[in-house]
Amino acid sequence: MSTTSDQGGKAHGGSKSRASGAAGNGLQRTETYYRHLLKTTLLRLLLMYFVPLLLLAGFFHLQQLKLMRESRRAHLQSIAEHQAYMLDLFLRERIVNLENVIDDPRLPVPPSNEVMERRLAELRKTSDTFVDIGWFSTSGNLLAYAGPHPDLESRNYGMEAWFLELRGSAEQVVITDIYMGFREQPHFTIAVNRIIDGRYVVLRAVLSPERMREYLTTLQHNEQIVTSLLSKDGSVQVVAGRQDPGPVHSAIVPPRDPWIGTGELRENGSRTAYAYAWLRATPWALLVEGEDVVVPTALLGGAYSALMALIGAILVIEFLVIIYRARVVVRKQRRTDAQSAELSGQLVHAAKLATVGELAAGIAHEINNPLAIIAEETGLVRDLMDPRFGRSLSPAQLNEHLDIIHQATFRCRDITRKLLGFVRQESVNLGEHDVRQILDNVVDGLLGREFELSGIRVVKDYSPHVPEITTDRHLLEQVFLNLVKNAYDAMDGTGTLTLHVSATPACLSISVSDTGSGIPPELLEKIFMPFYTTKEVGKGTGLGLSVSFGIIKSLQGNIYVDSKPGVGSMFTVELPVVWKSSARTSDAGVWQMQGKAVVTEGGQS
Amino acid sequence: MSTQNDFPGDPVREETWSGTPIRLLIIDDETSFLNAIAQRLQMRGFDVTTASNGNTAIEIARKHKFDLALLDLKMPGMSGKQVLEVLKQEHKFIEVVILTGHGSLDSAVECTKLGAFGYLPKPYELENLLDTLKDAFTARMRKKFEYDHDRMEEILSLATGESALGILRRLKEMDTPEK
Repeated sequence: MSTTSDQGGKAHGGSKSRASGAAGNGLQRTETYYRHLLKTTLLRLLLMYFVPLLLLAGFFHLQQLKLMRESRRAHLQSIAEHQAYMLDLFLRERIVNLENVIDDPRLPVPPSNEVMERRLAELRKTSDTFVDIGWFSTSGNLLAYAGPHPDLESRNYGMEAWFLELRGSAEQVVITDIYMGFREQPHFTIAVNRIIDGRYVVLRAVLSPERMREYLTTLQHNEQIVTSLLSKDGSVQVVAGRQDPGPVHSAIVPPRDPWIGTGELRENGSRTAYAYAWLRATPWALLVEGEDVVVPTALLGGAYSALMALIGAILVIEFLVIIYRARVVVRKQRRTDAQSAELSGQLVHAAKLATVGELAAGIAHEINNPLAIIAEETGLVRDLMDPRFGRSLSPAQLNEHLDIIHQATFRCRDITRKLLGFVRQESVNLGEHDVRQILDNVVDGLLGREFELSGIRVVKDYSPHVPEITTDRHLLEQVFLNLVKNAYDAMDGTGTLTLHVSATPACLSISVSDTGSGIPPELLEKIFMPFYTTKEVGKGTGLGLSVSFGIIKSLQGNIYVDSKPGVGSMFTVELPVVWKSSARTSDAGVWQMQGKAVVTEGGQS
Repeated sequence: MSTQNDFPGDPVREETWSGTPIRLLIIDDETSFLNAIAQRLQMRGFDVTTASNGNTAIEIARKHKFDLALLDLKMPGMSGKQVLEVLKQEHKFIEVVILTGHGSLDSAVECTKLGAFGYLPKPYELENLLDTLKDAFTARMRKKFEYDHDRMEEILSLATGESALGILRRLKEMDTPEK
């Protein structure tokens, strides 16, 4: 570092401050930005519209499913109850049939096989489920038989479970589970006992469960349900509504209490609803299994698909509307951006004009000097030609005076050109420029006379190796003018203005330091705010630094301030050596500016 | 002279005011301006000396006597105001007229406070300048006269122990024949 900077560093060690751009987004909004905006807006709108819709739909779906399930179970239960009732009725009828036989006083005891045949025929007329009937003695010997298995005669049934059960039962009737028994065919037995003439007799009928299955099947409505008859231990007696015989033992063993109920079975991810009802005549349970939910058939037809089509159409329309809305939002954003870019352009220009206004006192008055020369020279020429003075004027002498007038005229032109050239509103115009030249232009050109006439020493500490960078000459000139003018004003006629330019491979650093009054720390954070000024009313607009900040941001740089009251201030501008062309700032002068700067105190430069 | 009145900037011979030409110091950093105005005022009978900066002007003023000075305000080095202060301080009777391109009411008031006689913004009409110079010279002469008068009175009173008025009375008494 050079000595000047060291001095600067010491001088400004008091309080350091850094202007950090809010969002640092001084750049023009690119096409990518708008695409991204469109995407996010679309996503947000979709989420906003569809999520509640889907949640609501899901909620109602679940509610409806629950209702349908409940009604399905109620339905299954009513079927179970009804069928159990019918089966009960059926069994009671069969018992009554048998009781009628055994209680018939005309029946000889024990009856002969012929009598039994006749009785069986009568019973079959009542119900064709009867397979055979038999008459047993106390000890369980088959005394008479009618049916398709006469070979069973003379067997002893004394130790058969049903026989023993009947003997121990007070009911005088027993109904067995379905079993294979001696005949290799599923069957079940209804037996009734009586004491006739002091002798214990039993009348037994074998009934075909096949008939019962048919009976259950006929009771079924056109529904996809499986009806099964279970014994009290859960073994399946009869199944209807299923092709395969299924398991011997039911997966569902209904409880005895309550005697009627519903439930659901989850198996391999599928749900089955069931309902059961216990019979009264015998501990058999009727189990009805069916699909968990059955969509009402009315909805499965045209109405349902119409509804689906309607919902689909609504979704599509909503989607289209959302896309349209998103596009509108992005278009509006674009327009706003364009407007704000235009506004900030106008702000920059306004700030420029204000600066010119402040400069006018110094620069425009400067025109008076060459004007005075012109006036004096013309007067002199006139005097020289005035016979009263008795002088003479040779063409060569006249030429000399005219030359002086000519020069003075062009001095005037230069001054107006300087001002106008600065004021001219131009769109962002990138070019390769040497910042040292731009700085010289301000210090020696625009403000040259001011410094010449004041007691301020200007020290230029330029590094010899400063690459040309891509930047906008006029915008940068405006920034430098603001900084140098502020330094000039801060010094009040005496002091040293140090201009320091150095370069690293990545960025250029330009600092303007003064030995002026400095900025109190409490004001440091305000100086980049628009319209903040410490100057008298009418002397400053408070736009200079805020606009400078915006400009430097738009030129992809940074601006820092570092000041100590009574010692001086140093403003440092950092600009990138390589222009990031992704932000197409050159396009139509569209560039975005953050008018507000955040200045944080503390040594974090 | 009346025959040549159609000429603008009617030349005024300083001999018409006083016997000797008015000694005038012009201070301005613009050399072409300095040369032109010096020449024109010389042609009008002024005894003109020029200086292109404040320091030179002060040096010259110490060596030579000047009746009037024309002073520019904005100059490199010493400013016009500083020069004005020094001149007024070092020279009792000099009258200074300010000529400036950066004219403003504030600076005019300030210069008047510092003792400037006149304040002319550039560019000006030569006639105005001549009028101002004439007034300035009159003022200077009056000041000089008053000063000389006061001095004389002082000297006389020192010599006679009486005021100049007393001496006049005594002279009159002397002229009057004794009764």
